[in-house]
Amino acid sequence: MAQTIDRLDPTATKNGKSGPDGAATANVDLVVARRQRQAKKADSTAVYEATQSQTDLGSPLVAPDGTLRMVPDMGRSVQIVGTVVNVDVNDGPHPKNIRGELGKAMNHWYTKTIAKDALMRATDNSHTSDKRNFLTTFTNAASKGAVNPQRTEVPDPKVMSKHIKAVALHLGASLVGIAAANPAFMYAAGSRYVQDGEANDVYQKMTPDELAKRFPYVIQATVAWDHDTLQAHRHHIGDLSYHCSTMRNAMVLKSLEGYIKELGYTAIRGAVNPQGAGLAAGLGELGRNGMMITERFGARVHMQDPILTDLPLFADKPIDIGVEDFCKICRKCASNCPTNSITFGDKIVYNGIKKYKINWLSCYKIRPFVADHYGSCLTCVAVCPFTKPDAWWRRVGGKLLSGAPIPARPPIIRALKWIDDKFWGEFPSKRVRFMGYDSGLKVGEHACTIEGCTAEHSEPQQIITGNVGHYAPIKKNTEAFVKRS
Amino acid sequence: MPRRSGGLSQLRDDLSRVSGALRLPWKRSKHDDDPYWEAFINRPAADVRNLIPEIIGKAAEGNIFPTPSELHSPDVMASHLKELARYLDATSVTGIVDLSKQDPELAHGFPYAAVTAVHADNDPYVAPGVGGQTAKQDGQFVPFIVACWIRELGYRGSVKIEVSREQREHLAVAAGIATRDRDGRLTVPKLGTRVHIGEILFTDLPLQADG
Repeated sequence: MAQTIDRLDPTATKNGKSGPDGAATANVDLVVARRQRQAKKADSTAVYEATQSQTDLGSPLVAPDGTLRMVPDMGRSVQIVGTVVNVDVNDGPHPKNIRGELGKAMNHWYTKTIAKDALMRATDNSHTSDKRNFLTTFTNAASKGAVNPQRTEVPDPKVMSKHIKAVALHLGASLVGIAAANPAFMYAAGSRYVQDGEANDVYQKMTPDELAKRFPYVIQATVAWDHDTLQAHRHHIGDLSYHCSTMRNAMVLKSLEGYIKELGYTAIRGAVNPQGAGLAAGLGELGRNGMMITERFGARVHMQDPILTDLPLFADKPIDIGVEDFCKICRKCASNCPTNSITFGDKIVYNGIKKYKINWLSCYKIRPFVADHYGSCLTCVAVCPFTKPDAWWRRVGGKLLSGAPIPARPPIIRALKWIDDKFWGEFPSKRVRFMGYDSGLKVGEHACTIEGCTAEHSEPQQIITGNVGHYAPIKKNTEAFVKRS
Repeated sequence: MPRRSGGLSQLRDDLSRVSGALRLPWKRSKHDDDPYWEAFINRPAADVRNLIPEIIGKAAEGNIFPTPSELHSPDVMASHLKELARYLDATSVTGIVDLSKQDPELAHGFPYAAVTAVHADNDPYVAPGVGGQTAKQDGQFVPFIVACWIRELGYRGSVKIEVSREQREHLAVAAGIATRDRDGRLTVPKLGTRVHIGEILFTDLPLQADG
């Protein structure tokens, strides 16, 4: 797409890292400051009147050549500071793996292995024995419903926005937000993602610019993961926390997509980067662990494929809940990461975006080696101090942080981090029991630990006391797998 | 004949009815000022393929895993089934019926049925809109995934058998998760009278029945 943003000094972005001297960093800071001023100035048009601002020449979002400027406001945690090349959805980890680009072992694990555990087979699409035993196969398929020819008039987009949010919550969402569409968080032209590969419509070949003009709004809704089972991160119990919420989330989004069509407007999926849309919609901030961190649920949310629509709406603003300041100090996710994939260092500029960049390859490549124990690691989500039950004390801590002026936040963060380490542990390993699964069993052991179970098992029954959970792999073993950068 | 309950159950039923009938004059519905809400709940869909109940209702059932898993005792398996259902929908209540004690036509050759009640703001039998069908959607979501789990355990589990509303409510009472109040309305202790009985899950997984 057309270049509409100043390119940074090449030394600043070479190899995706800042240059060794201070010049590149200073350059980045200057551009960041300028972009922040621009975003603030563009606020009233870019965020609140997206339809007009994206078509009128002279608008802060429209370049002289008529293309959209890629300056979405995504809050303090992520800033666009250079050229953003729209990502092809087929360059993600799973598509690369399916094509065999990550090696034979990885490809075999992803495409050919069936989970040994029955519940995993019923909740994990890539390791099920029969795709029809996985609900999202149906709810995440390309929409077959038509747009209602009798369009509902929307005289006030604010009222419709309030209604759409109420609808999403009624359908089962935990959080919902609306962002002004921007080509910066669209996938590259012609690359749409739909699970069954049938996203063939008249919008398929549109460029990010064209899509953002045709569909000015993005709706992102998510369902929070269960907190208690998530404590068994790196265990099948934790997998369930993630998988069950994503199954419900897919259903909620599909239902919302259908409702927008019933209102007489178009809704398309698979075109928008979920995290970019979530940030712009004010659902949360991006943390050091590369995950969206929300005010109520911390990092225990998954940003699924959002809805791009022409329904007249009123966009939300990014929020500041203190994640940007907290992640500078905390680093708990980096300490706990079993593959050392999370940086202890500063943000870098990657693809024109200044953010914390995780090493997705090392995060991903451990999976075949631990498939008998878990499917998704989730350690960085579970240990994040923001990831707590949605209780009053959690909200008090959050308000204390987000309500404080930015310069006053570091001492508050240190106090909150100290409390978190004391009460939840620096390296949390709590024992969790669910449906006969027990993380109190040592790694590799299989036995029934249910008191009163009279069935005859192949392994002798074990009675376990204590509250310590065992999770594979042990951190010291993975130091050899991936060296800390 | 509607079943009459007594004692605490009677009090619970009465309170449930009173709380449903009474509304404080200053307390308004949270959707009273939403001009689109009525259509969301009650306007029939122009294309039913936009509705989740239609999508899930037409979803095919997968194969049964060829190697049956090692099971716990039937009482433990029953508690696991209920734990999973509650995990999938925190407001749901699930009970298990021994179908050998029911009409053979209702049993469809299965020994057990799992009955799930979900909270229903609107009765999906009378509210055809996308919002009105939410309870039906929730009542499909839980049994569908539990059935998938049972098939992956290596046992039969089906939610595709047509069961009428009367039969569902009869099974809910038989499973011990619901009672009939004096007016014959179905009441689930945890949910009150605003309930929907979801898809009935028929299975041969060895379970301990309730009721």
